[in-house]
Amino acid sequence: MLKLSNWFKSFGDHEVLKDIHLEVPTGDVLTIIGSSGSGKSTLLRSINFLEPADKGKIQIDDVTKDVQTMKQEDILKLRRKTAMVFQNYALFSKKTALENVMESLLMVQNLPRAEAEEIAHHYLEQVGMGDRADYHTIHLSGGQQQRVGIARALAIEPKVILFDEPTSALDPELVSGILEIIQSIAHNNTTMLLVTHEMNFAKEVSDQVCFLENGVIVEKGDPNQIFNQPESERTKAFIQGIIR
Amino acid sequence: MKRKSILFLALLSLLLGLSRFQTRPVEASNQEKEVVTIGISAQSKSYNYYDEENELAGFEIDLFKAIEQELDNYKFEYEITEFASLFAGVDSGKFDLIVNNIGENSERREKYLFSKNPYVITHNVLITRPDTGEDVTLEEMAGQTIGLVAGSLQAIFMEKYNEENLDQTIQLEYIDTDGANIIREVASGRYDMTIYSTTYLQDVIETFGLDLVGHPIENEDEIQPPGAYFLYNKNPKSLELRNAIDQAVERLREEGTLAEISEQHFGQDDTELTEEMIEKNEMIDQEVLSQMGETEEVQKVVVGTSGQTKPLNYFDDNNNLVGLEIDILEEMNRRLDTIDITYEITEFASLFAGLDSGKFDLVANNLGENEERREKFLFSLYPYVITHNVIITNMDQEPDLQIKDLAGKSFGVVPASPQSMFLESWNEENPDLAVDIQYIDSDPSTIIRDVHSGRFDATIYNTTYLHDVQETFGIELLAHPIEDEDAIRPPGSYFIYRPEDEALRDLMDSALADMREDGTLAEISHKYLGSDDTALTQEMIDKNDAIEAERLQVAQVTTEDTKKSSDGKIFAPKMILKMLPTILKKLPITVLMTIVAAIIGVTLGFIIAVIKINEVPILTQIFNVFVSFMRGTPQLVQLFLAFYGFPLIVQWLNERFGWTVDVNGIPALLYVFVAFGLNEAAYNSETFRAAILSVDPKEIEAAKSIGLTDRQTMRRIILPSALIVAIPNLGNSLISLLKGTSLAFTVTVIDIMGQARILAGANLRFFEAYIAVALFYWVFCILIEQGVRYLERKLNIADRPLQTQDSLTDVEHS
Repeated sequence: MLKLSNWFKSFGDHEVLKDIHLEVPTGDVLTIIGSSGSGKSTLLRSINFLEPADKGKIQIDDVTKDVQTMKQEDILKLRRKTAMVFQNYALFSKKTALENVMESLLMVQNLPRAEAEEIAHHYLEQVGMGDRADYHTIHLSGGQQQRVGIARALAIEPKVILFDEPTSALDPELVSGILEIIQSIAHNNTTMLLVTHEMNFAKEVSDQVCFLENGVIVEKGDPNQIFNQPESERTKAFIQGIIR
Repeated sequence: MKRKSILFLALLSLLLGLSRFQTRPVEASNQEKEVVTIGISAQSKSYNYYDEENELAGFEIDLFKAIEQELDNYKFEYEITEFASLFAGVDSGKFDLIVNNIGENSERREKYLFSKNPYVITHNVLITRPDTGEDVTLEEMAGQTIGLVAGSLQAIFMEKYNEENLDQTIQLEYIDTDGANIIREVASGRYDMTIYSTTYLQDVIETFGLDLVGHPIENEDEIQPPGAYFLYNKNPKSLELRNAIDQAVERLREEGTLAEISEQHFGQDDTELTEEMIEKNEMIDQEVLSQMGETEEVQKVVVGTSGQTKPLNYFDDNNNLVGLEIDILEEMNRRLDTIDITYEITEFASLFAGLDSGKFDLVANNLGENEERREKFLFSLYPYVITHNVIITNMDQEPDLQIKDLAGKSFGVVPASPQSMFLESWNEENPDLAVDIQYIDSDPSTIIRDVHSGRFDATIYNTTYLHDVQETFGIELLAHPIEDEDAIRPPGSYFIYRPEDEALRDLMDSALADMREDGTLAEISHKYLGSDDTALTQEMIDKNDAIEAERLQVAQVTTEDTKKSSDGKIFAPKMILKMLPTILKKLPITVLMTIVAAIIGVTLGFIIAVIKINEVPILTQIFNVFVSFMRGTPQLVQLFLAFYGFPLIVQWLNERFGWTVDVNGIPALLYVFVAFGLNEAAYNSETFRAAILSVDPKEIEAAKSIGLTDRQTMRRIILPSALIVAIPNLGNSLISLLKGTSLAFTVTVIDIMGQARILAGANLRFFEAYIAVALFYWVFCILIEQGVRYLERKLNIADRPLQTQDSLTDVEHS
């Protein structure tokens, strides 16, 4: 499970996340929607400490840490419980697909090479890239790269997976393939946070949806509520804006 | 990869080993002489240069051969470097004096100690083509061009001339090359004239078959008062040397030998002094002497000893350090007033380590010779006391027993001592005559007393210990000379020095020899040992002389034969080929310098780049200044700063803090490594910085997100990408570095460039020599280029072919 309390983040004078409170039960999927600049990406990245928050507490399962008293080892430990799938895939360009997935197994879990290879193959097959394991990233299409990205995230066996607009950079015809994969790994005891513009998908796969605007969670609830019966006016305006 | 690094290290050590053979001619030494280092350029034809048989020759060389014969306590050795570096060399103490047809000017008179009178008179003449006329003067040549080396005495003279004769100025053309080339340019017509000494002119004319004329110059005193001098460092120690050499030169002048040598090399006697000259120099000398005063410069010598070896070195009842060795050393101290001996007490086991590390300058502790010690260290020429190992038994035994007579008896010995090892091998080789070895970890006196008390039947120790124990405890024992006691330890104790401290050893040996002659040594032996154990047998003397002779390896310059078939030709391509093999011999040095500096440059450069990127406080600022300086100043300047500045800093530290660091022991190559390595590091740091920053930040983020530490991220993600970007630039740097090493000769390191200049100094074929060495650099650079290209291909996966063709077109699969 994932819990954020009193979560703040500013870039200089600009406050991007204001007193966020979030709780996602284990295995649940939370989708975060909102317009650009609302802070969705920053929120995700702050959970992974790529952009560390300024203030707040984070709890993953039974480990709670206060951002202001955390040390580098604590950050590393938490990073190993979370995985991120990036909008721009962010694969290691000088490595093959297999090597990309193996990286964390070798370096973080210190597995022997043979074992790492086997496990990596398993994940690649799960995302449908089993036969392209030895391709270098430059020889893969966007969709293929994103699959590898997902496999790489899965290989960590994280407690929380963060998807930062995983399909926004893909050609429309490739989007569904990725969404299928995300669908297939959801509800498998891994908590998922999803930032996306694919609203239909969000409706289908999420357990909770929250609407973020100007760094504040305006409304949170189950998909049906948010999309069909939003309580807040602002939520309503946003939803209407997308639907149109 | 591991095998590659081992191979690489082996190659490196091979080159390092080869580089120790920096060639310069060394004359076989006579052990008791002081070594005097003379700095020369070996490029001054007729004065000092390499002849056809590649021996050092010239007026000055022959002069010093004669001087050495006149003086019997000096041995002259030559150190070769560029003319420009001679002065700095005598400044820093690398050379005791410099000799290179050097004239006087007010600056040099200030800074250096001159020989009292010149040893040869040189005249500068105005050199023109014959068609310019006879008895040409400067005034007649107004408006014409003169070729000059910037900063030379001739240039300074001409600049002054132009200032004083504004309506008759001569056009000055500056060029940085050798005199021979300038003279040839006058013949070729590029310049209308130049100014050089008659001797030099004669030589160039003969070698190249030129047609030129030399005209006397009216006030040539102003260019360079005629007269070449030896220059010394201005300090009291050099004064002694200078006076000795001056006296020898005067004797040679009187005998006529000096004139003879002059005729041999110049075709006439250029050594006569005028009354004027003698008077002038006398006045100058008086002034200099009174200036210098009499500050004694004393060399500190630290002796390492254990203070636990009665009766050789030990503390008496009043806690004073006494003993045979101490008395000998104290006596030496009294006799040699240029050194001051102090003692450092340390454990026996640490003596050699201390000598190695420089803590002690010599060690004295009843030390005998063995192969290892002979190889690693420098021994006093002869032992100062002869110790004989004897079998020690009680008085009730028969006299003159040998080991075989004591079969089955018990011997008390210290484990792992020479005596115990001797007995162990005896037992191995003579099992039926074996003795009973009793190991006891104690000191000699206790073990000897145990023999007296009956605990052991016998032991083996040297006579000095035995004598001492008998005296101290009033007991009597029987000593039996051992047949092959050499097997235990060759008799003879030596003072042991570091190999490079030959001068110190020779100095101490001279005092020791005096003491031996006048009986003082025997006296001291009687005092502590009850007998004279210092007498040397002829056998011992011969043996030690032989060892000494072997130690001094005479390194002859082995440049190839350069026949004078090149005489008279303007350009001799054959010479290029002839010089190639000789230049090739110095290639390992060039390669070594390049490799070592490159390694330092890459490692340090990478570190600096990482520091700058991470904006580490303080270090970033320091390195910003460092990089700016190293990139902003010429390599030559950096090299000089290291080579001449560092010894001065150490000298200052020595004076300020009383340290005794000896800078002259540092090989010149080390300065090259450091200067070029740091320079490379500065340039490489920028290359690495740009390369690292060029890595896609998204990949770095991804690495972090999967839990890689910063170090893992650097190693696995950043470096592979960065290296591909960095390698072309690093390759350029390496090429630059290789060529930069050509400056090494300015600090006495003879690489391929230095060898080329030396060869050219001998045969005046500068152009051909430079073509030859250029070829080496070019080939080497091409090799580097190829290597870089290969690396690029290997690392760059973008050009790799796909396993199958269909991945990019397979849209459905995504």
